[in-house]
Amino acid sequence: MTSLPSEIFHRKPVDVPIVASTGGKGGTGKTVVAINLAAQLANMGKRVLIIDCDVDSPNVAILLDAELKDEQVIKRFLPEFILENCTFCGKCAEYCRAHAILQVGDKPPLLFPEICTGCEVCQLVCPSDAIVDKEKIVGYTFEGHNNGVDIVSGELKLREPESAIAVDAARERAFKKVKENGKDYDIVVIDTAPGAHCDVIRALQGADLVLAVTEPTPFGAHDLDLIIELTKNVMMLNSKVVLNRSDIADSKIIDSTCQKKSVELLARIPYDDELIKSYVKGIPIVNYNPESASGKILIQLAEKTQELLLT
Amino acid sequence: MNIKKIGDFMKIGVASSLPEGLDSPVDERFGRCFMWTVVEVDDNKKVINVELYENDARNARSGAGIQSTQFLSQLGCSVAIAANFGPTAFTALNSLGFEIIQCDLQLTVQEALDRYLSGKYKSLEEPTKPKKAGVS
Repeated sequence: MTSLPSEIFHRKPVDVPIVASTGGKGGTGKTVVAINLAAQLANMGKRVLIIDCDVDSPNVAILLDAELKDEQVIKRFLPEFILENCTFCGKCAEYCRAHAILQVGDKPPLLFPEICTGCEVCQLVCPSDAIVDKEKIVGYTFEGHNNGVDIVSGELKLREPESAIAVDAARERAFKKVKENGKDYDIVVIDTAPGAHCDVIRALQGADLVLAVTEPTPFGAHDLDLIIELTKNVMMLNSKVVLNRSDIADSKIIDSTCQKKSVELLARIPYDDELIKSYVKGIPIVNYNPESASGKILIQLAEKTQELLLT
Repeated sequence: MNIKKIGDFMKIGVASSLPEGLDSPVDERFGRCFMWTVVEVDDNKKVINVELYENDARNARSGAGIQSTQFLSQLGCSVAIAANFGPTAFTALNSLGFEIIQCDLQLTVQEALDRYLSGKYKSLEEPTKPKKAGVS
């Protein structure tokens, strides 16, 4: 993997520091960390934009109790065959990696749109300009604002196979907003989906600091190992660990993963009923109860983030 | 006089779970079957040729039914036999005018073929609902 040009993962569309919350495993508290970080940075007087890149289940706006507005559609390529140009050569079917096109003999190509991923290879290999783009709506982006934080959120339509498209669209809209208000934003916070797939990779691109949120379980440790391998060793991004529910079990398992991967454990958030209450109310804990055990740690995390990225 | 040779007769693609030709069990799945047993029968419904092919589509991330249909069609098959046909495979086969034959479970290729050739099976008019679908 060392031959991968990691610069492509470092390319930044805007000149504003980016901190991303990810973690591999689902349900570790990635979004809770992201929204509290954003809200606290706002409390500290920073202009904050948060991008919800968990497009399969975008929850940032719910946890910030913000209304999402200004819907824009996300379109992607969908082939349409111009039969008078088609020579029935079969290349489109042959090269389609998703096997979404059936073409035999002198019969016209038949597309199975629910299988098509919109990769455009059929159009690229077609020698007779018989394929045009009949756009397809695959999701939406929205904007919102609450708790002092501006929000851009991506949402993929159900059953769409390629979530990275919606991640790209959410980022594009957010970074356009940053460029327009260039001087006004101090920091961008990104919340990613669980996993270590292309949608997470796209979401993390250009992050100056990656927070891998995990929990002290074997499952958490396993997925932490994977996500750190991706963010630190493949993407070569500055990666640190946040241990959530740090006291529900022995955290040695996470300490040894951090040691093995040479990553710093930046914060330990204890299990805290106050955090659950804040979550239910849709108020970040840093605003709901800043004196609580988890609130204090998340405030410290925002201060450390400021030190790392804004000084 | 027009004399037919091997290759000119009706070809039947049977989803098979072992590389054992006519003795192989019929596979439960069409698009993701293990092997293809392609049987050619003459005008008197006598088997005159049997060919075995690996099914490249069986581990495909998507579109196994489409890929399998494409493969059988290019071999010249006009009949497909399996224990189940998913909705995509059904649409694909139907679009090319295949006879789509759902056979009973736990038959050999030979048994399924005999029942089809004796007229026991009719071409499906809608997809079946398999117990298993996708890559397991």
